Amino acid sequence: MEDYEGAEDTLAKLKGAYLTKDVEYIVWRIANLTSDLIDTLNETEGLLSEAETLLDQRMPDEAHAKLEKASILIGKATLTLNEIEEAVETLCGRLGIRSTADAKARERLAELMERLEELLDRYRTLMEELRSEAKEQRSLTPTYLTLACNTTEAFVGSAISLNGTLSDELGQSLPNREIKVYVDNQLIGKTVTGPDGSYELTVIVPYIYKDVVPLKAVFVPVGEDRDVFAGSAAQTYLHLLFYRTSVIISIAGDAHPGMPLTVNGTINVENHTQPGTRPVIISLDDQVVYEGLSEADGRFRAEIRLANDTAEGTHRLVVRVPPNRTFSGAVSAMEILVTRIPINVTVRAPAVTLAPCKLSIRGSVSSELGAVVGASVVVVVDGRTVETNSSANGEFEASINLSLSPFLLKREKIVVHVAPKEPWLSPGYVSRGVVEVNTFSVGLLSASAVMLGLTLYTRLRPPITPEKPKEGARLPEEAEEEETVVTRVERRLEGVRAQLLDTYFSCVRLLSERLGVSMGSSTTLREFLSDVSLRDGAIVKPFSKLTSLAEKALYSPHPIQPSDVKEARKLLEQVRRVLLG
Amino acid sequence: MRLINLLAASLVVFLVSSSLLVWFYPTTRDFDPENPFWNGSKNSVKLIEAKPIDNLNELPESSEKAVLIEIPYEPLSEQELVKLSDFLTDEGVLILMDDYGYGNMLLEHLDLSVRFANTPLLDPLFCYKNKWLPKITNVSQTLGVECIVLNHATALVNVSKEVEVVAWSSSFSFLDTDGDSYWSEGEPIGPLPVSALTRVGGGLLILVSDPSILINSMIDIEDNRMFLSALIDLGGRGREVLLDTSHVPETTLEEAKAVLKSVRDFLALPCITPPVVAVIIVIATRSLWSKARGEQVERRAG
Repeated sequence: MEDYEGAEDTLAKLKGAYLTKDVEYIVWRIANLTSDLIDTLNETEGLLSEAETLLDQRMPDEAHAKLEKASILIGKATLTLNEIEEAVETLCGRLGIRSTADAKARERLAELMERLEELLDRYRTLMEELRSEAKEQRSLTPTYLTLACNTTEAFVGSAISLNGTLSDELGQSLPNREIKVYVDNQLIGKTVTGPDGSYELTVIVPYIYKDVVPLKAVFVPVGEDRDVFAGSAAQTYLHLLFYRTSVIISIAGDAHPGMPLTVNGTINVENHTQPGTRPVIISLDDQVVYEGLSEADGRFRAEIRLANDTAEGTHRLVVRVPPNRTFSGAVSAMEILVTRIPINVTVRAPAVTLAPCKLSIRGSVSSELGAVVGASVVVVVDGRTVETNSSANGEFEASINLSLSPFLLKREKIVVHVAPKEPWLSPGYVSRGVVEVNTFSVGLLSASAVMLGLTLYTRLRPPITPEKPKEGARLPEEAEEEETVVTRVERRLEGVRAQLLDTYFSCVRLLSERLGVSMGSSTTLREFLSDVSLRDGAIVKPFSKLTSLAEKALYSPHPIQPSDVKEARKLLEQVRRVLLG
Repeated sequence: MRLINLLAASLVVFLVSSSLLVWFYPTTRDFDPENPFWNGSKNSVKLIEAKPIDNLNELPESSEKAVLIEIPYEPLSEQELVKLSDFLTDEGVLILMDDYGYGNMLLEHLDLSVRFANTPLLDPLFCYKNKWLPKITNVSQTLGVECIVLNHATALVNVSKEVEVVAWSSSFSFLDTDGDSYWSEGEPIGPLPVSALTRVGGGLLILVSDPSILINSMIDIEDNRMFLSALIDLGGRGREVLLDTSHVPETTLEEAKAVLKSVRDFLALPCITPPVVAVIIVIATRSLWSKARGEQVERRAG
């Protein structure tokens, strides 16, 4: 059967490949069914083997019962195998062949299925052969065997007396036939029937620590008898007596690799206050780690040392007390959790540093047991590695050269890995950040900023105007917030420009008095003209021209001529005439 | 034509045309024997010569010659449960087809332990087009069917010796109890029973964990047609086949048809029809009256 269990390995390999969830499920299911099939085949094999033995013992009825069971199992296995084959075929058809490895895996799978089918066929053939043999054996003369025991219960190791008779179907005794006696399928004695077909023997009850065991006498025809008589068996049950032993265990402290672990226990024996000195065997994950003896009162204390490479996690600790004659053995198991003691790593390093520089990193390593001495400390900064060891007080120090980087600021990670030399301590690591400031880049950036500032100042400073307004004239845009334009103009202008503007504002004052139109702080000359035009249409023409001249004086770069002032005064007169009637 | 008249005319045309459309458009209700679309059962009903019934009161008095197909997508009342129970006791054959409906109400009423799982049965390997359409190949030889295809089906659970399973899903199917469409730890794995039968009183109760094999789009797939016929014949040939449509939810179209039908019935009342006809005549001849009156006014003025 080992050959066929390779199917599971192949399926397990398939599972490792990248598969969709559905395909993964199908593969898992195929593996499940294959496993079930193998179990069924194993069971069938066992039944056929038993049937073969029974036929060899000339017991066709018993063999027949086994063969019926095997037949059902073969039917079940056939259905399962068909379903697996169909599933594999469908799955392969759906996935297609994507690589050589795929093709090989499928070829191997198909081959295994073929071999399983061959095995099933072989079992079918064997079953048929055995069936026909069983049929043939049914024509043999049946024999009858009886068995009686002088007791229904006995201590293990004690002697018991058995007797019985062997006869054929007509009741005629069968002398000189060998009778074998089994307890719990273990041969414990044999004898030969006497002239009257009876037998009698004394056997020692084996050291089997079960409450009830089958006691069986078997007659297997040999020689010429094989073609004449069928085999026969007789069975009874025997209650076994022995002192039950139990063991209670506990562990003190936590389990850590490389550290001693104390296992305490007590052995108790039924009806005994002093169980006596008993051997104690302790195994961890099926490896014997301790062998010793208990005290006379049954207590024991065992110190075991876990191997340095013991993996973290749950391990099975088994304490076994072997049986000793009428004392049964005892086994107690418990799960122990093996862990490594965590360590604390602290790191002291500057948060900001100028590069290039030598970065000094200090720190300490400790655990609940104290300072961790001689631990390997690996400091990694920007791909550079420095190795050191922790000192007697658990301190460590390392320096790393930081070179210039193309960036102004760079955040680096300081990673410190610590590997203690003690196997019971877990490795640890800690990381923290450091900001690396590039000195060269900072200088370069400062110089660039100064140059940029100077350039901007030169380019963006305000142009120098060729003519400044003189005192005496008022600029409406520079006036304070007041009700009328006259009081708002503070700044005085000089020259012809001032004279022209004085004329304009005289006109404005006149219009304000007569028409009640005021010039606000945000009123433009054109807006004022528009307001005035609405009140009196007759003054539009002269005041419009005056407004144009005032705009020229205020905003035009061209110089104002005395003729402009003269014209402005003329226009003022025209306005006045219109207003005064 | 004045605008108001135009609007009124348009409204009348719209109402009449939409009423005609609703009246004559075929039903789209699931499993409806008149529905010719994918989800109807017109083809199946024709195949098995089933007579649709709208109410369980229409069950024949002697059940021993009848096969009732029940799709309990709406809850069954206590009276209906009693009726179905009596139908079985009187040697009727009841084919209970359910997936996510109320079939378990009847099973509980009949004191059976078997139940519809009411969670999707998916088969990612042996399926028709996709895993929601599992192929069932493990069918009892007595039915003479090789393969049937289910559609968004469920499975039967709590199956004990009281029922005989006649169809099993494949070993690769599973019940998607958490609804994530994939197999998850703890979800029941196939083979799972999808059809079973049991004797109840003198009758035969046949359970199918998917009514979809009846619909037009499924009946012709694989051996579904043969499977349905075989189930009907399980209780003996020559029985009258009845399909209960009263426990299948109605669509909006069905509701609209029902409203139209009640309007028609109302208008057909002897006290309503004459006045309605009179009103229609008045409205229809109103324009003629207006025209005649206009001419009279013109003559007087002239």
